[in-house]
Amino acid sequence: MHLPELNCAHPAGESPTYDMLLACSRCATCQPVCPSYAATIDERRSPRGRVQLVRALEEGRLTSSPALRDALESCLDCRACETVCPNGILPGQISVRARSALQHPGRLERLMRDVILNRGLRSAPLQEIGLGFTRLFYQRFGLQQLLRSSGLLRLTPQIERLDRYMPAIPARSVRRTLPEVVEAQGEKRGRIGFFLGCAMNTMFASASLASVRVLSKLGYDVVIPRGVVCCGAPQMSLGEREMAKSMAKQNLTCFDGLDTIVTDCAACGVELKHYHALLEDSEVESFSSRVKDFSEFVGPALQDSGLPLSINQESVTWHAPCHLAHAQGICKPPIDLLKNISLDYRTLPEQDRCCGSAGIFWMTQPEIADHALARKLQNIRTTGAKVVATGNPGCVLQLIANRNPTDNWQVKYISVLVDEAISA
Amino acid sequence: MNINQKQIIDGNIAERLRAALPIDSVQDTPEALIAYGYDGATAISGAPEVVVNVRSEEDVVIVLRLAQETKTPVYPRGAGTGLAGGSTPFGGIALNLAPMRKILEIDTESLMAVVEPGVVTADFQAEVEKLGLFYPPDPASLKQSTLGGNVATGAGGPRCLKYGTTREYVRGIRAVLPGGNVISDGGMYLKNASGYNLSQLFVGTEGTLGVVSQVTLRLLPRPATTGTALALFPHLDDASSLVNKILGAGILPSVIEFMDHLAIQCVEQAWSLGIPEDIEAMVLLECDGDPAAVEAELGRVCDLCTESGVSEVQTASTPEERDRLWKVRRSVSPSLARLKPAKLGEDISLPRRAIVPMVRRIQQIAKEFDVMIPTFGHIGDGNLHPNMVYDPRDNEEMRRVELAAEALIRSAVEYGGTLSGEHGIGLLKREYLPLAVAHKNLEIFRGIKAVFDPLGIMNPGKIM
Repeated sequence: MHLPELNCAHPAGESPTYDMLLACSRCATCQPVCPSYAATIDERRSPRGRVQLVRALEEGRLTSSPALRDALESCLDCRACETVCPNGILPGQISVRARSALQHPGRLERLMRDVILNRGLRSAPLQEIGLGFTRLFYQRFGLQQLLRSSGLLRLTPQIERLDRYMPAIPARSVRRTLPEVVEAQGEKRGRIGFFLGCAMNTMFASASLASVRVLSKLGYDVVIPRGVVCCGAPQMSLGEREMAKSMAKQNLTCFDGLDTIVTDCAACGVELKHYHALLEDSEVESFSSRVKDFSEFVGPALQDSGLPLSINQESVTWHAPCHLAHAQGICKPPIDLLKNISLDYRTLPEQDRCCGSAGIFWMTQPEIADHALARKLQNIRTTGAKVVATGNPGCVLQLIANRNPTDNWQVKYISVLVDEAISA
Repeated sequence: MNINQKQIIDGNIAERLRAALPIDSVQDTPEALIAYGYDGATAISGAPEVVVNVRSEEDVVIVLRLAQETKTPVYPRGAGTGLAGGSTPFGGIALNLAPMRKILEIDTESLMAVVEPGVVTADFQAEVEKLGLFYPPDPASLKQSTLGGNVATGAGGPRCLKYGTTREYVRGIRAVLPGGNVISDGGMYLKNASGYNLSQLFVGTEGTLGVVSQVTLRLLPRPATTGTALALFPHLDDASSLVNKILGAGILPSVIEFMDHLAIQCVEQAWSLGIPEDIEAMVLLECDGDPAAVEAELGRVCDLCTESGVSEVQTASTPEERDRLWKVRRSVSPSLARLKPAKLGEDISLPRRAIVPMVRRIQQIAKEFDVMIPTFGHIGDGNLHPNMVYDPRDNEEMRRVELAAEALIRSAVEYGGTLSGEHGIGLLKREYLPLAVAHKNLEIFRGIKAVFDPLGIMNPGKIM
């Protein structure tokens, strides 16, 4: 006999059903890994509790109420519960679906959602202009400094938070820097697609520029289709399934003829890998199975390439984004990749525990988010590592915004580290 | 011991509790009543009238004083992971002790710790291990279950063979009795012959006497290393004779776990490990202690396996390899869902010599009643978990499962065993208790309960 692997996250593509609610054996294995339970010690805010509440709702023993929506909204959708559930229940997705079904946004909110989630996220140029203005007037012309020094930002904690989380916006987006096809360097090994996420195109342009550079140095022509729109993740998390579907349909048309589609955003990766389930179309499975996370693709490709590496001398650790470790079941590839390019790799305790960023959860549920964050920062500090590598824009924002001035570590995107290692 | 429903309503207990307790302690929204209406026994759900989260012993005193005054039943709970429905509430107060999660003291000189009941077992183990100490009881739910719950059910686990159950570690308690009186018993000493041992009395009483608000637990020095072996046997009797040979050779493993043919097949289906179809038994073994001794003992164990007709044996000493061996054993319970959606898990405890005849008898019962009964458990200490799997939508099958369960328990008692080794009686096994415990003894149980809880408000309907 051979032994089972330890990491047993569920493959992408399953969908929660009523039978799944019945199959919960109430063992509470999910409780200790749940950030909202850890912060509240409240059964209603644990995966098991939420599954039982949704079951009661389905069976007519419970009706929608603010208290029920509260319980469901306390879920960060980190999916750690799904990784550990011995019965294959998907408590995270069950909560997210149920809260979407229970929401009734008013007319103003509907309008805002249409403007931001639908029109805004469909148009990269619009996002670039919006962020360009923010950069120019807020960050460059000193409005930010003025507001900060005036104390106006401290009027409400939300505004202060929003400002603290805002990254320095780069002058040029990835789209405005790179052509649609970036040619392979050295010996050509193939042609691949690159899915450029909204945040990666703008706020984290330097990371995606590094990702594309790495892929081209590995010998791939990198196609960055201009027709790509938002992956659909923000729409799904707010329950706008139809908007997400229209995004998916648009994106599906962009990668014809490309066997591999790489993305360096963990959240986009989850969504792309679920397109067949979203569109309820088994033909789309071939698309979903072509999607690879950056570390999943680059790890083996780098090993095979035989490229000379300049080993990173600084101590480095890996914060595993939930959307990579739990929602995609990708745990080892980024660690192997980092070990391959680093002299001093240090294991982060509870590496796959949520940092509390979770989309806009850091803003909507600050108490639970801050509890998760404090635990993450504490764990990072115990490693003594100088670099915290990660692979999801939300995690980067969360860690950079909340690093203490006394912390002597910095946050780096994994592709930036790989790029540095191959550059030399 | 029935509680008069009318008195409960007249008491308007939720409002009175709210007035007396810190803010946010009392909840009675429909969501709270559902979420605190169940535990790990899937077959049973109830609902309290009100949920009270207690954060200190003073809170517990207030609740039990009001409960006594209004004759309101109180259902204490830890993490709600029990498998016998011991914490399921039916009206009254669901008393949630999970927020009382402070480790009050770890005394490295006396090797004792004092904890609140809501401390999670694995968290406690991690804390004492940082100090080079060891708290052995390891129920399967240790990552989520609480020490208070472990005490209330007398929880065990694989390491009982060498280290004993939770009971062996309880050296003192503080408990709040109905009416709000607090008793304190025992302390940070190992030996105690000063009259009746009330701390030990509380172990396994499932909250029917009072609410344990503090526990003093014994600790051991932490073993330097642990080594693990997993062995496959084509013949059940060979697996059993191995256990005797090991113990006969002067080796006391910390763990000897067992899975029968059907249980192995479930795991095989889940993970495709390549276990041959003809394997009748799987044994997982652990030795702990000094590295050299552990290595020598494991070597000897492997030799004995070979002498006993093993078809394959694997060993591990790194934590990751050990986890992978354990994963085979730990996947059994959940993988049973592949056979049928629901299961009725038994927890019989037997003299070790009765293990093989009992496993054979279980196989007979399975045939007789046409029920699938995969069996696994702690072969070293004689505690077996035959699990009858069924489809809850099939009434006829459920009836057969009930008959099989009764036959099984009767057989266990005939072999000199008892009903529960480590889960407790709760509600799920209550009707079977008279099969294992004599009428006269049950009378004494009732007499003891009446001393602590004359009105019968503590977890009514459980055990008896």
